[in-house]
Formats: sequence, C-alpha cells, structure tokens
Amino acid sequence: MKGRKTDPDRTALALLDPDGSFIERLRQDRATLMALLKELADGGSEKQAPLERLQTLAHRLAGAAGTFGHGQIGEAAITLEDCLADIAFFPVHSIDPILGKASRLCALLDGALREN
Amino acid sequence: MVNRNIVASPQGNVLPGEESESFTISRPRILVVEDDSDISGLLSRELATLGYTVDRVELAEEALLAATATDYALLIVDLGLPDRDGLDLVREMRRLLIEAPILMLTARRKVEDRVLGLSSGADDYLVKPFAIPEFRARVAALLRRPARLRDNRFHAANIVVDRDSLEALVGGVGLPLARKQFQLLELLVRRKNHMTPKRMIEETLYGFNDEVSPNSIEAHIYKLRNVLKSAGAQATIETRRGIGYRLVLQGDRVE
Repeated sequence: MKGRKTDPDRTALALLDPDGSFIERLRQDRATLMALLKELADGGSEKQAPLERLQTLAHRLAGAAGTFGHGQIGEAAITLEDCLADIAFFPVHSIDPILGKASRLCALLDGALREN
Repeated sequence: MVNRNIVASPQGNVLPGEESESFTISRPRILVVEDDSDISGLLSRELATLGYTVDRVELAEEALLAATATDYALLIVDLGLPDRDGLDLVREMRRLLIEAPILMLTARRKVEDRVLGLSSGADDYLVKPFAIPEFRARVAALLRRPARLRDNRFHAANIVVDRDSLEALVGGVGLPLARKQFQLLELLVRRKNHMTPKRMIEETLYGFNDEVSPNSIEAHIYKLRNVLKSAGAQATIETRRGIGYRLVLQGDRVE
C-alpha cells in the first residue's frame, strides 16, 4: 500500500464500503478536522487538548483510509500523525507545519467527498 | 458484547438465531478484536465471504471472555484497544493457554513494534493500512498451519508434555525425567490410547548411528511407569508383548 499514488476506481471503493458508512465517517472526520483547526487558530495558548484530539483523528484515519481504498488520504493522515508525534517530542512554538498538513488532509477529504 | 455474525451456508442463507448446531460447529470460527467498527465490519464481511463464522468485539476484556469460552480457529487483534493495550491482551491470552493463532493489526509502523508484537505471542502482524488481498492471504496462511506446529503442549488425562519448556507435568507438578524418558512420554501422550510399536519408539529415541541395547526401551518404560505412578498420573503404560506400548487413560481401557 505504501507509495501508492492513485486510488482504486469507484467500483473497487464501493466493494470495500458497500453501505457508504466509511464515506459518512470521512464526512464526520472532515467536520471534526475543521473544528479542530479553528480551535487551534482561535485557542490562544491552550493547544494541548486539540492537538491530542487531532493526533487521535490522524492515527485512526492513517490506519483505516488506505484499507478502504483512500490511499492518498491515508498517506496524508500518516504525514500529519508523524508531524504531531515529532512535536510531542520536540516542542516548537509554531504549529504552522501541523496546520499545513492538516489543511492538505482536509483538501483530500473534500475531494473524496465530492466524488461520492 | 460479542457480535456473532452468522454467515450464509453454501446451501442457502441462514438467519441469526436459525442456525443449526451442526452448521455452526462445522465452520471455522474467527474472533475479530477491533474498536474501529468500519475496519472490523470490513474484515467480517471478507471473512464471511470466505466461509468463516465471525465474532466481533471491541474491548480486550470482551475478547478474553470470548476466547476462553470458544474454540476459535484464529484471533485477529488490533493493537490499540480502548481498555487495554493489544500486546497485553495477547500475552494474557497466551498465559491462559489460548493457543489459536493470532494475527495482530496495528497502525504502528516501526520495526520494533512489529518485533514486540510477535514476541508477545502473536503469530503474524499486519500493518494498517493493508490491502484486503494481503489480509486474506495472511488469514489463509495462518489457518493452513498444521495444528502440531501451533500446539506444542500435549495432554493426556492429568499429564501435560510441553515441548517449548521441555517439561512434563502431572497435575501441574514437574516430573524428574531424563531426556529419553521425556521423549518417550511425549510420543506416548501424542499417541494416547493407540498402540505404539517398539520400532517407532526406537526410531524416535535413537539416531541411525546410536547403538541400542536389546532392553533399553524396556528399561525406559520401566522408569517412566514408576515416575508416572509416583506422581499420581491418571494413565498407565500398557505392554503388548511383541508389539509395543500404549498409554491408557483411566476409564478408557481399550481391549
């Protein structure tokens, strides 16, 4: 799965998610992601809690999205998760790298939701 | 709560609650321990398509209850469970002598995580995201393993022979056996209630180039009988003159 650049066609996706429950989950994850990004932008100095929730979301998406045929979303989630893990070990003042990677993930979610 | 998904039989559909006992017993049963309902649903559908009966649980404690009560052909365990680390769960399962093969699922991608998973008692490891054909292949490979390779403990009445620890126990107490006597007991336990020819015993205990004295087998049998009797084993070694030996469980005397 690693390194895959393109995702399977819609027929293959439908076989993996016949009742569309995973697409619905992506829709909810996108809404959660947007809310967390807003919280991080507005939240002043308190960023720990939203960052932890963002890490949980990224971790779960990293595991599930690729399995359901959304490889690019999975890879973007892995990148975001790795970035969040790095920051946990090496705290930095700016969360701009995280916001950038989260925005990329959000764009990919938008694309998947538009196609479905 | 265990979610038992009953799959359709090749002859027709069977609805939950309508399945016959013989139907459910005859199909390999697999336990999926995964808190991500999308993933566990996908795996269950795939396994059902392959003809397996699937139980799904989300918590480690539910998994322990299910695995101790049911003889599963395979356990699929996610590493990140809400109530307990999957590694702990696998260790606990092995401690409770749950011997079904375990396929561990995880989003942890580091080599050391995979090594840790396998050393905790899992038989294979699949990193998320994974491709469904790979999942199917790993399940098939684990279920293809002969039982003798999965199970290194042999039981007969209150006798246990553990090939991993090279221990023989009666009622949980270790027996003072020399190496050849241990090998002899293992052979007899594996062939319990079946006649074991003397020649088979010789081939098991001795190599081609070993010199075997005419009474060596009898001597090992004599010592083993005494050890088993002293330890209170609920089985005895029966002699068929000119044929061989048989471990007979108490109450199972075969004529």
